[in-house]
Amino acid sequence: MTSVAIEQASVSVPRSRLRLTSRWVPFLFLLPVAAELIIFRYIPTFSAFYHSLTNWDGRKKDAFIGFKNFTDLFNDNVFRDAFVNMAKYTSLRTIAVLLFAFIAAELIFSIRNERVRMFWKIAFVIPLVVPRSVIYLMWAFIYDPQVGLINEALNLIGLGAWQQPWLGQSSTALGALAFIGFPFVSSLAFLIFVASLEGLPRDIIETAQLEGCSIWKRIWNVDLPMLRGGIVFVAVLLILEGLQTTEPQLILTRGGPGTSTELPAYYLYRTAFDYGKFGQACAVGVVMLGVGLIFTAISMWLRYRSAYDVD
Amino acid sequence: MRLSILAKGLTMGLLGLTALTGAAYAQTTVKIYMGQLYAPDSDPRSKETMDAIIADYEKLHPDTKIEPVPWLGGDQSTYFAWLSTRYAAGDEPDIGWSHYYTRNAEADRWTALNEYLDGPNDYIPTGQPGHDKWNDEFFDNVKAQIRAPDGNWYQVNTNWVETGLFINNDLMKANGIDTNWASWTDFIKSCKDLKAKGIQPLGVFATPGWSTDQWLDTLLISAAFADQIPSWHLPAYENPFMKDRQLTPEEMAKATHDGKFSTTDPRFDTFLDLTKEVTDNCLVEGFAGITSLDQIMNLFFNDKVAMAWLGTWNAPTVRDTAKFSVTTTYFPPFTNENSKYLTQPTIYRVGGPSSSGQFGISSGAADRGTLDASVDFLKFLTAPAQAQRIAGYDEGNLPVIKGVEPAEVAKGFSAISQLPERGITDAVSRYNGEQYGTPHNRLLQSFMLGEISRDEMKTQYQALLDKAVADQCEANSWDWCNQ
Repeated sequence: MTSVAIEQASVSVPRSRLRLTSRWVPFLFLLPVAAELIIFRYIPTFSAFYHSLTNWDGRKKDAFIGFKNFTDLFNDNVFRDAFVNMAKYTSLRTIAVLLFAFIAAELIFSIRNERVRMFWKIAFVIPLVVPRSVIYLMWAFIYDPQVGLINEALNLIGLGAWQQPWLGQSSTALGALAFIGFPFVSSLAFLIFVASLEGLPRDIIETAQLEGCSIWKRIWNVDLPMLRGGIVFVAVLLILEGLQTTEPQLILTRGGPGTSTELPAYYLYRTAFDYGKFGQACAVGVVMLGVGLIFTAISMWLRYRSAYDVD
Repeated sequence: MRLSILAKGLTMGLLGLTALTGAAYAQTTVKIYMGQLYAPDSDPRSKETMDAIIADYEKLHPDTKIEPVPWLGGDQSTYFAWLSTRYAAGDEPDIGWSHYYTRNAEADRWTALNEYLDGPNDYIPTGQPGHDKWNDEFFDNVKAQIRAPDGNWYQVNTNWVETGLFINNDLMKANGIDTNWASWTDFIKSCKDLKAKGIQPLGVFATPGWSTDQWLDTLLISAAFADQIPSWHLPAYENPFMKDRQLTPEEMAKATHDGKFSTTDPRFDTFLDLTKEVTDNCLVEGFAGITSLDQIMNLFFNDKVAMAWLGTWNAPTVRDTAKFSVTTTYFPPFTNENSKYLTQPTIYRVGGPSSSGQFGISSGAADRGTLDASVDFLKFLTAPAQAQRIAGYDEGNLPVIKGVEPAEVAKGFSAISQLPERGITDAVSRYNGEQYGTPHNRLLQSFMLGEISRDEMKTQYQALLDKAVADQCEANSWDWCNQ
């Protein structure tokens, strides 16, 4: 009875109206997200382009000054150092995170027993819920020259001469920041790699095994090419993270010693909130956006260049 | 009949509603941010006292509502980031805490209080300082120091901080170290003796941002340029109440502009020598990787450093936490052995108005119509009766309002507060802005660690001085800038 009523009702609606409704419904659902994106992402971004050409102080001053903010930036050795540091930090971190997360994912993937595999996946992922600020504070203790875990461990195994003030000297500070989170198994990269490996067609893996392919050969010739999309995706995220990093500086080093751990995002933060130069901070943001887009484009090109899964 | 009653009732109701709405519109809400003086989560006494003060005020002024914003926690940069964002949104507190030098550098954000300070404060009893002229209740040396380069006062100070050397007596005695130093040289010798015994001598840290090394820096640079500093004073800033005083940003800029404060001056080498000596012999290992005073206190409480340079505000924590005997003292004087430019053996105190009680009124308050109410509440808050209530729980700050007594734990700093004022102030406020302080700290940090040579340091530092002067001249258009 009810179905008949519905059928009749649907028949009574004109065809054109139905098509119109169904065409507009998805856009209606997209509207809140689009509004959020426009208000909180696009407008600030385009506003930053405009303000980068002004002496905006975050309040009253907002006079047009041309490209002065950009020339001041490129004449500032701290800003230049920040970009060099960013390149080093991001390279180190990208390589280390990709490598260790991939190794961890392969180890998990090689476990046959479903339950044991699940246990290790959960064990590796649980630390992801720890807030980043807490992780940085924990690493402050790990790196502490007086009571730190690393120096204490070195002392215990008779390598006391290797003890260092890890965050307290330029030669080790940036590397120390890059290795926060070591061995990086509790990361998004690990999750993506495990999911990608588990999604590989079993017949390919089994064929490789039947053909007598060793684990190393399988990883090199099957796993890595098929995980290419995931690897590039993680790399892009890590590069963008490198561009946007401020927490370790705020919590652990303040950009020092000297300029050794200064990164562009922290430079932007200080320029805006410590110095009140919002116009110049916008200029930093514009440069960062440009660099981010370039790196993302390169990564995407690498992703799709003669990839097996792309026509 | 019934309709008539209904109509009357409706009319009365409407009138009542209008009256109520009118009253609601007449009420002024003053939003205040008191920093750590109102920290309900970490210091319930602060909430209890401030709520009581606010209730007393609102009883006197039913048309005004005071809305305190709880302490944000974290370090000061968190607060300043929050404040900048609020300003950008036009939603900043009407009465806000800030450091006097930050406030003076961002003067357009704050209201000049001169005309109000010249007027009476009716919350102070007749005959007491401040009743006829509000400004009279504050200490003269404090007023002199917080005055902006443009001659205005953008804040009032209810208290002051001092710093002191906290010594672990048990550790010193166990290692046979005598702390009755007659001179800076003796102090350095004690540092060497401690290091020889494998003990880290002094808890001081250095970062590109704020750090306690800035205190050390001002002591050393003031000692190195001691014979020159008085001649850099400008008549506009002379103050009969301050025999010794810190140079203002304009005086520093002019001395730099005239080439009197420069890296080619042999005094600058003395400053670098003193810096290197104390760094190599006294500072805790890893000083450049420590970012907070809390970390220094942890090292001190855990016997990892023999001495810690802390502030009055840390004294209550030290009293409550240290499991060993602690003496609060100060550094011994520099002599000609340390700086040949000293006219007499001298050590300078490092303290000042950078305290918990620095309050100003936002320039946006006038637009919002809350200026008068904000001024009135500030007068109430700074009256001795209220300031004494605050001093009761804010033990680590020395009140600078006439007639208000410090807490017991802060009294030990009274002798230190009598020492001479350093001539050159902290790097963050030396040229009126952190944008000069941060690069200064970076260069010093690199020099202290031996990561840049003396010549390299001097070249980069001179460039920084020249930039600071050029920027300040552009911003302030001082008469002497074009000479």
